[in-house]
Amino acid sequence: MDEFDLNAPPPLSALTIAFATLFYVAAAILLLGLFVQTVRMVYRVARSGRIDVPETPADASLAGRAVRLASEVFLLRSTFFSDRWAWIFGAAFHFGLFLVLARHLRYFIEPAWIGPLWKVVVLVQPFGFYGGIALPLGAGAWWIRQAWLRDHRLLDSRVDRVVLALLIAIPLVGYVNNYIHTDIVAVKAFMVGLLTFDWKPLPSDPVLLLHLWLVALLMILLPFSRLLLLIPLGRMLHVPGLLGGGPGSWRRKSNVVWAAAVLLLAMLGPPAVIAAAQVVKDGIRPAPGFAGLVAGHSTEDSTVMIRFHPKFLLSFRTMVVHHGEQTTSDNIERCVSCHAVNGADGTPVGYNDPQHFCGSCHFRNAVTIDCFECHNSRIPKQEATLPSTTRFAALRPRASTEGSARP
Amino acid sequence: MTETSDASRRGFLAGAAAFTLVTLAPGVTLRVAAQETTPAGKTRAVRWGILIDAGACSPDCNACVDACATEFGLARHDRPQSDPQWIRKVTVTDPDSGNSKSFPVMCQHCEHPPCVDVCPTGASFKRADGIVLVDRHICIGCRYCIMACPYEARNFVHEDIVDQKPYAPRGKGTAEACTMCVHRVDEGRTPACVDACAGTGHKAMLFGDLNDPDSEISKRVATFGATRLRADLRTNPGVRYQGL
Repeated sequence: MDEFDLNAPPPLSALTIAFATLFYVAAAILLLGLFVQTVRMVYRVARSGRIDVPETPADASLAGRAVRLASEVFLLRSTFFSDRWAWIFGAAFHFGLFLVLARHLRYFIEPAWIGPLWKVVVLVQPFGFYGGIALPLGAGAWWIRQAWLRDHRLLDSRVDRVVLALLIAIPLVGYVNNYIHTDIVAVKAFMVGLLTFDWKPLPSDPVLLLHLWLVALLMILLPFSRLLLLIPLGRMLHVPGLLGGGPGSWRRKSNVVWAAAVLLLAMLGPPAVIAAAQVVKDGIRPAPGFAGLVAGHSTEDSTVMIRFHPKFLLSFRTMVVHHGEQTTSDNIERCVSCHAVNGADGTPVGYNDPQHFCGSCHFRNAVTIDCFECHNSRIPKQEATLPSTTRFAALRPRASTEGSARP
Repeated sequence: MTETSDASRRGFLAGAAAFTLVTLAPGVTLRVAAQETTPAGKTRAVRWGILIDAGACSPDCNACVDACATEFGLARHDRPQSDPQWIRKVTVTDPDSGNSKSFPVMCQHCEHPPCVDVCPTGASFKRADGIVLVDRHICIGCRYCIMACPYEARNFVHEDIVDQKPYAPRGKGTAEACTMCVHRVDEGRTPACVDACAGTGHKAMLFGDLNDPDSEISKRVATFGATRLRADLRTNPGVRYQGL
């Protein structure tokens, strides 16, 4: 296990420091904004003596009013009855956003912190994946319909439009992350490091950095948009104009807008520049030539194995099962045998044991696999110490592979 | 022999597979030089077969069935309806003469396998060397192949399985059958049932390359002839019988 120590502390790069700082600033602005908006909302309710949410028709009892209010907040009830298309798109967006946020809990929570509740985080993963599709579709369709109807009343400031555009763009960039197999183990280490004030390096993956940078921008802008507010009001979008007297009044103060723009640039500019420089320096990964996947793979860039082991395993499957290559090398059994971890009784532990080589990481990152429904997850080292081959050795960027002679 | 008509097509397929590029990610490919490292005959026109001499097979002997269960860890739960059975002993009696023969029946590894024809996902497939297998990554457990097989050779896995043999992954919800001990064949060994039969001294089973005219199995088939089970279906099995 020693050679697979992923937690060896490398020096923190400028990139890591820049993004860590950015996220602390963005989180502070978001929390402060949420606090201020909540106080204003409470003040507004206290002053007017009523809540800006339709409460009728409802049972006059407290429970009846609570149910009515909950149906308004969680099911967008009055929108459902007043504007069905807006409800369809809005519900797709909101429930999608909820599932996406729930899916992303795996990057911020360690299983040990919440015990059995971790099962919920694991369970929500596939739903979050589809929620991420509903989110931009719902928001985009709502926006297009709003423009089609020439009803700009609901999105009357530029900040609102930028925030909505970010909410559409961020999941789309996120799916690119999914496709290129970002090193989510490192991402989780970075995020948990931010929460526990124990900083870990951030991978210089351009798509990931764009995703995170856009999220930081969203966190900073959200308090200045009415989209943050949680209470819908009839056909109006959320509660209008809390940052000024009425909808859009603050944007007419041009000196305030300029000051905000300069501040925003000061916060978001340096991380963007540092990230761009780091990406140019590192290149589009995986840059390092990767010689010897099975033999000595631990000595090479360990993130290659972390990111691409599912692809490797399926390639082995095709080679072994379909093409009839030697079954005794380069298969999942060889991985399991070499990485076997012995339990208290001296025999290898199974996949469900927290110590299992595969299980530990998959459990911690809420990634469910079904490999071990058929394959044996506890193979002793002695039984299957198999001869290494270098058949899969030639893993290089495509440009240098194509056209070269066969080895 | 119908195999020979297939040889040119196999040669073409082998050539196409000689240099394989597997795309792992944008810009990353896995290059595999398949043919040089292939054990003898994997991509050439090899046809693995088993010749079973019913005359030499003893009705009391169950060695091949036991060897199979040991090799693949086929656990029995005393539920005959659902217990795995990759190879079974069959006894046939001629009602006129009373003559009785006992012999093992397993997946016949057909040249034209009905299980492959009916498989909706392509999980059921035939390797270039004639061995018919199930790709459990693709199998959805629909059991069409079990219905289609005229030899009742396929099984459905009904039970959760733990501690599988490293060389033979098996899992609940998929179809499975005799693999002709493909893991042993690829290492240059013979199937477990053939080994066990030789161990008992009956020597009723013979494993070899049906396409190689110099192999013992080909010589014996050429000299004495061999029966294909349900030859009327024209599946052309790789498992042949003598003395029926």
